[in-house]
Amino acid sequence: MRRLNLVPALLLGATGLVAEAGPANQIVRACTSACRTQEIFVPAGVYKPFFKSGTGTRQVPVEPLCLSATAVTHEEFLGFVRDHPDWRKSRIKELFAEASYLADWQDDLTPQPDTLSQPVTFVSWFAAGAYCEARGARLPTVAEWERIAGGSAPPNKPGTTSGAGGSGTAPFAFAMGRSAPELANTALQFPGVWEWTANFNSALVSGRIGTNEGADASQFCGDGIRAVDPSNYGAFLRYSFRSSLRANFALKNLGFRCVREVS
Amino acid sequence: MNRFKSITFLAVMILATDVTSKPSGRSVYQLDSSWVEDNGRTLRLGALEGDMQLLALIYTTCTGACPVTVKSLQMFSRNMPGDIKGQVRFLLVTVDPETDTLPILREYRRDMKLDRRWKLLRGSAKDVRELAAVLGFNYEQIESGQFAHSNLVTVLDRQGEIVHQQNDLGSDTNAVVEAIRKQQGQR
Amino acid sequence: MKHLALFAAAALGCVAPVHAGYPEASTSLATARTPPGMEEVRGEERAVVTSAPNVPPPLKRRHATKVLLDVEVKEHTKTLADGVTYTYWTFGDDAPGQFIRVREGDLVQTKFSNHPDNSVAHNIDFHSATGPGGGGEASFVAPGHSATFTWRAMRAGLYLYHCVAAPAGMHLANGMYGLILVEPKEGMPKVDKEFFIVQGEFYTNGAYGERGDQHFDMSKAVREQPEYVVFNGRVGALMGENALRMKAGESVRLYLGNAGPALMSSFHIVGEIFDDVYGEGGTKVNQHNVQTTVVPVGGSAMVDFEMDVPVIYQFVDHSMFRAFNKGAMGAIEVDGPTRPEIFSGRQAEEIFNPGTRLQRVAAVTTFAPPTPAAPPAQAAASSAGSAANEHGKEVYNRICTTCHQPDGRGMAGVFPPLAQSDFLHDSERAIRVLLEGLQGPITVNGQTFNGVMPNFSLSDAEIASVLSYVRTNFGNTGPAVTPTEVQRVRTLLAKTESEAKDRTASDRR
Repeated sequence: MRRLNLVPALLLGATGLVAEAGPANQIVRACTSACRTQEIFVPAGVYKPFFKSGTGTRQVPVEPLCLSATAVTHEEFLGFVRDHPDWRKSRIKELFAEASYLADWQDDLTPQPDTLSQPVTFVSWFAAGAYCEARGARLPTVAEWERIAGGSAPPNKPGTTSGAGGSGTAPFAFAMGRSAPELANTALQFPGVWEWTANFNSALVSGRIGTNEGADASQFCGDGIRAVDPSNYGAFLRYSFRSSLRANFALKNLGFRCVREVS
Repeated sequence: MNRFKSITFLAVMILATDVTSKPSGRSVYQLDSSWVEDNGRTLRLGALEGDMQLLALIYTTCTGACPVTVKSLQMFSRNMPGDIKGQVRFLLVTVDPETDTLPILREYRRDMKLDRRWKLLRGSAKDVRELAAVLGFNYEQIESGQFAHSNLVTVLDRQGEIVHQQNDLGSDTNAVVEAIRKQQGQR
Repeated sequence: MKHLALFAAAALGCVAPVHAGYPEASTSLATARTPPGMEEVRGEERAVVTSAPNVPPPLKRRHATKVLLDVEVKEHTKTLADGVTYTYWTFGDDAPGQFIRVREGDLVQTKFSNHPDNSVAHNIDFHSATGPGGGGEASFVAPGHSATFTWRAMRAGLYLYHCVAAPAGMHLANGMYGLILVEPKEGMPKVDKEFFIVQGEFYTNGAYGERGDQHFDMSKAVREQPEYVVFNGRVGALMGENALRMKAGESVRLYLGNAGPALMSSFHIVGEIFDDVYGEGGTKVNQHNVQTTVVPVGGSAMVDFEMDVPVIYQFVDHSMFRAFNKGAMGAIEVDGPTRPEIFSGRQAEEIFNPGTRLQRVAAVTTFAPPTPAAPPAQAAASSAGSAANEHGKEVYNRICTTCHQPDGRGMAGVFPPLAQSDFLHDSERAIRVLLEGLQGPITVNGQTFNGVMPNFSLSDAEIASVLSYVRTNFGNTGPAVTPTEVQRVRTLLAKTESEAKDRTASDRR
């Protein structure tokens, strides 16, 4: 009898104390409850790609997600390599991570003691993906990441990075992530590192070089790609950076976080 | 005596294949993903080991760069110097597994007249993304059935390590030939 | 059996490790072939590079060679102006990057490295290279990686090199540029001295001179409105003790570059003429006797001339407000005997009264002729507070040194001295000069000057500090000036001006 009484109470608690009217909000609440602690619910939305193609700007729909509030920390990654020895520094193969993998860890299981709560860097795309997979999650796609963290025009006085892993004062720290307006009041944090995406290798070669012009059609299928908003140089920096990456790179300023799809 | 020699010979060959079948730390075959050929057979990446591979990622409805890439690979396959002719296989992997079903791939093979040295592979979106990432190949679906992607031909050695890459095969195949010849010396 | 097994083992051992990806950087088949019309390449050597403003010595070799060049990108916070820092993105920790000197026909094997502590991907575009992106494609790398590529110097000339990673304007505006000279086969004509100067802009979120750490401002960049336009990477890089030095009678070549990213340069040396101009950095002298030469954005020019008259020459971007208000000024100090047969200096001075009157058109602030001022009875205000004095010094270095010089001696006949200056005794007049600027004839220390001093839009605090500083330095004595005094004069002037306006309006009715 006691158990039966608990269930409705739990449900009530899970769906939130603020009982706002409307079925949409109830769904939001229910979905929010599906996210774990330290995750943020991101409702479905739309991503306008930075590079437009062909005739017009297109829109990519983005499914609802549970998003980690901040980048994965050294401590969390330590837990992962404890359970998955193949991903330890001494064991990992070059295809999956280059020589600088976990360069700032003293050994397989010893990160620097004062960095435990800071974002882990020097991790490759493979390692990041494996971590997320082990938690029933995955890396966000570029579309998802940009929708969540792309922000629009940079602020007038770009701030300095708050976390470690940035190269001192990175005046364009905002380019590393700024909350989309609808997530402004959440626990979403950007600790000043670039972040891996599931399909980082979708930024095109032309994104490397100077302009927002796409390369000529003989190089690319499709009409060539142009930037929608060339003054959004934060986006340029991110796209440019992504296009310089290879899957096994482990860089000082590159970390990651995971997302989980919401059923 | 003869039986003895042939057993030893066999043993040596087994030993030989055993060592070379463990991929090196740089081998792409460590991905160990599972693919399906256009003829329906399943293929684990590791099975490609033993031959050198000339590899490109394409999709069949591509109208821009892909036909050029495939044609130039074909030209290369016909005009390859005799000493390397038997060592090289050709591998096309589709980035659009949704559209490029096995029947479509078979049709593509017929249209492009690709012989038995060519393999056409279809895999999961995740496996394609992974393989592309390892090769440094960028692609993005911009509309249904339409992709923007870079242009890349990769030479894999017998162990599946990347030994040469080129953006445009075109008429300048010397570097490819040189890379293949270098691998021959390693046998 | 044993023999066979051993043989097998030995054979297995022959499977040697193979390089993945790109083979070790050796001149591949492609670049080893010599293009038609080009020289055969013989031998190899390390590139000689030098930091601004010096240039490597002329090459002695008479053949093309393979040059080994290492370029490393470092992101580094440095001083942009007095009290102002900026995070530069540099080639070789310098903005502009080092000057590279090669020869027509050389094969330049470039190893391009991106320091692992850097935040973004970079690349390099040599304007002297023929091929995709001038190397931009081949060199594009993430931090902690390097790329090697080889290009042939097909054409002689003076070329810019710069980063072209997206967004390219930002990489340029952060300092990623330099110059490379491809000498023609027969070398450049010999001169006594060679220097290089690269003009570039900085788009800071704060205004010109605003103290503290500044950041790149994209909106200003897109509007092409820089806060700083400077030579060789910062304000004063070629002024004062960093001025270029020559002897009278020496011939000099300046290798000029303009990295922009927005503004063309009209390069001029005040009081000098260019004898030979290699327009746009090509190898032909295409003009003689040029006062001001254009240096296009992303381009270059070379100028040859001889310095005859000893003096400190200012050189500028002749777009005046860039020179005086944004830092586009440098100096060449020339030593030697005076040349009165070329320039006499002031020869005569007299009263001029033609007997006519000028029609009065608008309220003009005129100054009463200087009355012999009583020497200040008050004690020297050297204890004006060391903080205010530091501030005054900073304002002085930022605003005043370009004309009045770091030691306050000014420039004979052009800029009056502040050192031991009798003009400064009248406080109210000194304040008015800083509030409004000054034009018209004045006499300072017995010498007449008749120039224009602009109004610098300084705050009360800045005016008070800099006047106090000047009053207590350069051999001056005098009381400090307070911000309150400045404010009083400012209010008084505003009142006078509005009264004059009313009068003129009523005159017209």
